[in-house]
Amino acid sequence: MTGTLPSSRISRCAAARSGTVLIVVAGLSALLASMTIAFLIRQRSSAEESTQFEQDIQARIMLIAGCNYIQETSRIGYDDGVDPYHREAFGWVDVRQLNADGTPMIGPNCRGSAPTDVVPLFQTALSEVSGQHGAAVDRPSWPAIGGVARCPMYVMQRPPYAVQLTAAYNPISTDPSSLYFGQPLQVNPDPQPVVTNPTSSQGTLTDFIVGDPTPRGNSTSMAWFRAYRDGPDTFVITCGAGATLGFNNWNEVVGAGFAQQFTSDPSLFQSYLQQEMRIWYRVQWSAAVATPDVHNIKNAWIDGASDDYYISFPMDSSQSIRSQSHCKNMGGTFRYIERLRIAPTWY
Amino acid sequence: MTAARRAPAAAYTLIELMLAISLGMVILLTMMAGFRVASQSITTVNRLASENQLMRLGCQMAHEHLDFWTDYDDPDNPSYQLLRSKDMNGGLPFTPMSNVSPYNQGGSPELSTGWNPAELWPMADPRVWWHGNVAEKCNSNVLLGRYSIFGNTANTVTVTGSFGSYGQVTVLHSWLYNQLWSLHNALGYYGYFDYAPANTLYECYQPWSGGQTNDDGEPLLLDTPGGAFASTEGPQYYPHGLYRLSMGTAMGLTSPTNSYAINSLSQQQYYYLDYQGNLPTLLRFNQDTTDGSSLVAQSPATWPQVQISMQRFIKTNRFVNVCRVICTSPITGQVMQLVWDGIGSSLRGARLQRNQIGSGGTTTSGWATWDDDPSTVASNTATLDDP
Repeated sequence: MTGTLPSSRISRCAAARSGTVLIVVAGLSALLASMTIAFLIRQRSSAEESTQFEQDIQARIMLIAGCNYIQETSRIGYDDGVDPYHREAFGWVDVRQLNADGTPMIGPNCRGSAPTDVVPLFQTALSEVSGQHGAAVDRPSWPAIGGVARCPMYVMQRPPYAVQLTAAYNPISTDPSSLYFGQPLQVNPDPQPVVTNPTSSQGTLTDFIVGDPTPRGNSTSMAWFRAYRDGPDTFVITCGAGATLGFNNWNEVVGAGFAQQFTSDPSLFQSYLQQEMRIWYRVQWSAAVATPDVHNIKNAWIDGASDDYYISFPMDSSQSIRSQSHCKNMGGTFRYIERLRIAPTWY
Repeated sequence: MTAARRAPAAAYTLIELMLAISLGMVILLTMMAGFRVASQSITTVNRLASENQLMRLGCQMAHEHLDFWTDYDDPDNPSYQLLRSKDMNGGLPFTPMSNVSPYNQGGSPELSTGWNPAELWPMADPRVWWHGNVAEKCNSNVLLGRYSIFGNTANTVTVTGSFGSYGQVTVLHSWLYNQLWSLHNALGYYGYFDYAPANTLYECYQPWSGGQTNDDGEPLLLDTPGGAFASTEGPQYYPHGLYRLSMGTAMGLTSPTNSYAINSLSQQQYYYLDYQGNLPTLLRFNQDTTDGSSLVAQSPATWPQVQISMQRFIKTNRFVNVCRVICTSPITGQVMQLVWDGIGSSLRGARLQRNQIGSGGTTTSGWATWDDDPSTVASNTATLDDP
């Protein structure tokens, strides 16, 4: 007779062992689960930090955009609603003329019908709601002093004058049997527009010129800047990353007629505002661009001689590496860029 | 003896025990291995996450440096304001203007001297025009005319030169040349180019001084190729603009992490970084102009070491701010480096952020306050730019 256990005893022992394994497995599973949860929490925290980091960088990119905007609008000019073309401007501070008290004339101005005519390209009448005084109209429109340019950034479906990304429209033939083997011939225009054959009709030419400014969906509500002109040539640039479209407060949203963009819900706008990153810079524009010295070739040739010569490469020379043509700038420069430590009252 | 009299087995058999132990060990080892792999994976991921986190912080700190320049001058730490003094050769990048170019309002706008931040240098104002000979060489024989009588740092000039005297003349324009001369060593060369408008010709006229000026009164310092201000690139014997001054050279800000940065001459130098490889100059340029600091001053040995550095210089007319975040793994020794050219506050912008000691009765430096609210604008504090 063998020493076998009664079946009831066997099942009790097996149950005890199964229970032990179950406890061990459950414990280890709980440990792994807790580690996984801790890991996921850590990753979520990192993702949130990354979002903040990304906002910081996007806001900083807006500083460049804001500075470029101020430079370009200083001189490229504006549509004045009267003429079918841009009116060329002459700087935020008009370098052509001083006021009677010796202060520089405030721009941007354009040239009138006579050479001495100076036509302002701005209106000083109050026409916009800043929100600082409730819903009252209390500030002039851009580009008058006190005005604000609000610029949400996005990628257009097709920007104006878009050209194809094709690298080589006229590749040199590598076919030995070709009549044009090895010959660099420009048989196709280079570059070519994205819209096909723009000169075939007025409609497609307009398409080429205007582009398709519809925002690409994945590029909206990411970054914006607004420029507040607080003096003749000084500006507060607010750089933001978030979904407020650069509005400062709900009254401004309503005053500008953009309430529908936020489903007419002030709390939604407020939540966007709280999640947003904003940084402020003050800048001063300068009309100065470059020096009039050019590569005075004759003076460079006769090293050591004491005669002065004016034989120079022209300003637009592309041949001379020492020519100013290598630093083109049509928009002016900045005397300073100052990051503001706290938000100013007006911006 | 019958089977019923035998005592029932109270324990496992040996075979059962051996099997149970073996199986248990296999299960335990498997679990341990699994746990170990999971643990190692999480440790690795955590370490990578820490590296990423520290590098993100490093980038954000570099951006803070870009904007507030606290790696060069810390308004909150009086012991780290090394670049505010001056010596017999000039000032440093954060020296108050009142100390190196004090403003004196003259009897007429042309006769005002020193730095006045309210001046806008408008081109419609004849004071701002450069009334000189743009082709006049540092060794000019002045055959094309004597231009120092149209504009001069002195408003009356006794015209003389190495060849004889002409007499005394009253000069119409003094303001611009006084600005150019007083700024040339006020803040170092980087500061000179930061403050002067982009269309500045870096030359002026002074009363003639043998060995110091040419026969017309142009300071030899400013346009002699290979001198202390202009390089031999070209060479250009006549007045320079910023493009020609920085085309063959770089003008850098000497970092305060170098002990010689407090010598004003260390801020008045250029580095000849031209077409040819010039390794010794490049190495010295990098050493002089690159600062560096640890993101975390004291940290566990197992943490990645993150260094932040900034290099500010002017090259080929461009103001360059090179930011670097360097992360070294304590486990593998692997080094990762992020390098980018950033934009932030300019030097003048940074000086406008800083309070001028004595402003409003203050006895400490600290940060200047600025607001554009008309009701509080009067309480804005004076900065390092103010008279």
